[in-house]
Amino acid sequence: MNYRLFNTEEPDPIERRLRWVVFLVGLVFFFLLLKLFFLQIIKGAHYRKLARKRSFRVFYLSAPRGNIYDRRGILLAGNLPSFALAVDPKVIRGTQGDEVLKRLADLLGESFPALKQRYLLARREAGTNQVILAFDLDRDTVAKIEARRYFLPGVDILVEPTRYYPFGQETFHLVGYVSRINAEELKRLGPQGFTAEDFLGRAGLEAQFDRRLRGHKGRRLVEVDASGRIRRVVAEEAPVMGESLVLTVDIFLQRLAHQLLEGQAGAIVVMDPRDGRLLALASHPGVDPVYFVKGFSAKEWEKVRRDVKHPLLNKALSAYPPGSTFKVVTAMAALEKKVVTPATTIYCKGYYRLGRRIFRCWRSWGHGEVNLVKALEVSCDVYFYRVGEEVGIDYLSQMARACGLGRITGLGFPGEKAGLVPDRAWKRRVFHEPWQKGETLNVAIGQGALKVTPLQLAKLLSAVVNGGVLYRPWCVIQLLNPYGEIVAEFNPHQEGKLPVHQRTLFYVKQGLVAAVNGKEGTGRAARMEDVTVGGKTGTAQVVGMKKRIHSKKLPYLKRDHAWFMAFAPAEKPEIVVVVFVEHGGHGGSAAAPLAGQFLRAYFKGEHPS
Amino acid sequence: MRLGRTSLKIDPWLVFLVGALLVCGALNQASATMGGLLFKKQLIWFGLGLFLMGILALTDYQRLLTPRLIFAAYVVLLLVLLLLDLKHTRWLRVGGIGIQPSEFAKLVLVLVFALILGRRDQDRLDLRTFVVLTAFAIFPIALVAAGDLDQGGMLFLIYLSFLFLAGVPRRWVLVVILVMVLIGGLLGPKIWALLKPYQRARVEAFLNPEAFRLSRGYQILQALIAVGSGGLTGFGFKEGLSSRLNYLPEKHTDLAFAVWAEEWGFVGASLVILLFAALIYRLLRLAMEVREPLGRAVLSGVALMLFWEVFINIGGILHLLPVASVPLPFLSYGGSSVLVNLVAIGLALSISRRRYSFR
Repeated sequence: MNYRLFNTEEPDPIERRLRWVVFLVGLVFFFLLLKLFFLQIIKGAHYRKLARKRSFRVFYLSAPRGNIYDRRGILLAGNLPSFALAVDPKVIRGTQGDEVLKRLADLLGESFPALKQRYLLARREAGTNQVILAFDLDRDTVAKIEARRYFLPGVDILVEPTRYYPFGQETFHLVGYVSRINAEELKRLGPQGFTAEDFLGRAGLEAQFDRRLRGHKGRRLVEVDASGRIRRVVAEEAPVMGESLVLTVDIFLQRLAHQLLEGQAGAIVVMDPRDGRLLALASHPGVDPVYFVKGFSAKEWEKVRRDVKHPLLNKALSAYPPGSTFKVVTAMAALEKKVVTPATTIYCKGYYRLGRRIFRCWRSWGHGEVNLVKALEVSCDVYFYRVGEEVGIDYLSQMARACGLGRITGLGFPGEKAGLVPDRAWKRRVFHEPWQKGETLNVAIGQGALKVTPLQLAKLLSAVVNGGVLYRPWCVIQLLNPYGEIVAEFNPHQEGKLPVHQRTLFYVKQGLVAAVNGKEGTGRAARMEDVTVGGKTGTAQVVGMKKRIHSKKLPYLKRDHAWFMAFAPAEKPEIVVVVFVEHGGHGGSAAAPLAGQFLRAYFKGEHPS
Repeated sequence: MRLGRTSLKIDPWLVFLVGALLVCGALNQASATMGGLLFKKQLIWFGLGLFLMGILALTDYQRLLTPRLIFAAYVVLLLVLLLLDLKHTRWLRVGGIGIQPSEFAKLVLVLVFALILGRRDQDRLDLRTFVVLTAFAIFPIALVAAGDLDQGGMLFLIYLSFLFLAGVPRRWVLVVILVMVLIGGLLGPKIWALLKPYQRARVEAFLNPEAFRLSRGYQILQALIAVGSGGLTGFGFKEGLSSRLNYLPEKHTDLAFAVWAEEWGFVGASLVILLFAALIYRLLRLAMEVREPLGRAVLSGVALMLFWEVFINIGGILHLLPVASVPLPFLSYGGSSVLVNLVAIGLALSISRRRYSFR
């Protein structure tokens, strides 16, 4: 019998302690609730962010680059699907990561240490993005990996569009190439959404139109579980293919140009003089762009780098002394400054004396009496020494600039050279010396410091034969969206007019026609039977020499550059061809035949296979 | 002598609170185990536990909780624990069902302590009672702790609770705390060196989970992310990001509350905490009302046992305490835990029915 029952006012000791317990328990629960509130309400956003960071991954989906078509719609650059092996660096780490890498090494037939080293190197560049371990997997390997997906957490097969160029090196300098972004560029372009797997356009049109060609990357948001396996795609934004280019270039002419230059180094620029569009822009030799896409081996790269023919250099856009082709400019200057009339004759006795210096004609026994047309036909140096001296460097350089020389043509390719038109100011700036009269004579025949690009000559000759309009060279006529609709069209752009009278152009053209068709013409090798061709040879000295030695006897790098620029038909010109053969020797024998072959093929509608 | 039949009524509060917690537990297991086999097993355990609870609630606890029966249970428990320790396992396998005797040890110890406490007259803890309590406590605690330190710790906490209920003089408490502080200060490094690596890791991980995020701190960090990312209303049933993607280890047992907090947010998590608080409060309240010493001691013991389980588990998940591997009553998966807790509630119900009755 418990007597305490009747003594309820006074709590017994146990009840007192139980009250303490209630108090303490209440206090503990209060703290639990407080901490819960702190974690979920105050720090909720923070932890939610952590949770998302941990469980979501964003994968970028490469957008296919836009295609590049020639004027007939023949594909010059396109995409092929290829399989790449990607791993997630957040999962591939520690011993578990090593296990996965070991399995991958087995599947790929590589040694584990090699693969691991490659992985570690690639991871440094990729940061938190996916690390690509292998490109261009064959279908067997892909199948093997896909079948073992469960045992390879953090491993993914990407289907990537890979650039391919059906015409290989023949479109190398025109279309350019793409290659993978490097670490430095990635640092710079990373904030714009570039990743280590991206390609950048490096040269030619690929570089010039990189932004239009690139398209927009897609994004895929996935949930990744604790062992690194993708559980679910949360959201996906499809990639948008880049815009495609339609060129004015004719791939048949482009290939023809390359085939003509086979075995030599040089460039052929083919332009429609009526609006400045390019029909071919060839620089030989090139490199098959696929090497840039897939990567060079050290040996291949060394070979390309050491080649004296400089396959990486776009010679159509590089500057060289123009040789006698420049006489066209001198002739126009002479007529415009009224130094001579077309009928004025000058006697060439094989050399020209200026003070105590002797300037030789290329023909040591002289040309006799020559007028302007004859001088262009036989490419008489003495005639142009004489008129050059009278025109003076100021007017001559002014005329050269008005012809588009000494500045880039506006084609828009990266790396195009401006060339050089020397004058008094240039001499003073660079050499701190006054201009010598003798230098004017050298410039008048296209030697000395003068430098032009094959493309500039094509632009200049086009202007001469089309009535004096300088067109900016262009080669892209349309941009197409992925559905094939035209999003932009390009039109010819008149940069200006040559500051010459039509009469001047008439006589110059006559001289050019004579140079190909005249009995003593230097460019007879470019003659055609049914079409009248006009043109001008050029032989640019690479090394100054006292006596003229036949180029064939010189070492390759000291041989002259051979030039020939041609237009046809003379009555109504529709094509301008500039042939430049680096260290090719004499313009008339090394370059003119190529132009002739080209024009014959062009007018016969002959196409190389 | 009996005072009115109305007092034999089942306490509705206890039934309601336990029912609500069981509903939460079932929902949580449905999510944490993806509604698989374990979920079905857990439901069977719930059913069995409720059945036992009902029977116990209708039984007269004074006839059931005889000294003979309690001591028999105690002896059987000691034998089983000894056997398991010798076999180096925590599980007793009976016909394909794994039983965790360390769970049962809690209840048995509560009953033993209650029996001792109920049989003496002193208000304060005398030396004899202290010795008897300690003597009964030391074997099961040592045997359990040998295999499972966390559960051993739970038993020790229950032992301390009963010392408190028995009325430890304040001076003793002060002396013990002082001695502990002294020992800790002087021998701390040595004790630290004696700890097993996993025990050290647990403390280190508690102090700085970010630094060990991939190894020791992984569990606590993932638990914090899961709880914190729940926010106010949570991700929703079966939608928890950490739970669904397996970032939470032990999500159906030790970290079950993290799953709950992630999916139901602050609203759901605080509801469960309040339900537990209410349940424990109700048990303590009943203990105050009950005048019969054994019943009162059993009720207090059950309340404190639940309290320690809830506090150690949730406190660990909320990063107030180092993580210990103990189940959360009703929410964690585990047949033994469910049975023990429901049996304890059954006893509490039985006691509460007779709180105004006398022998």
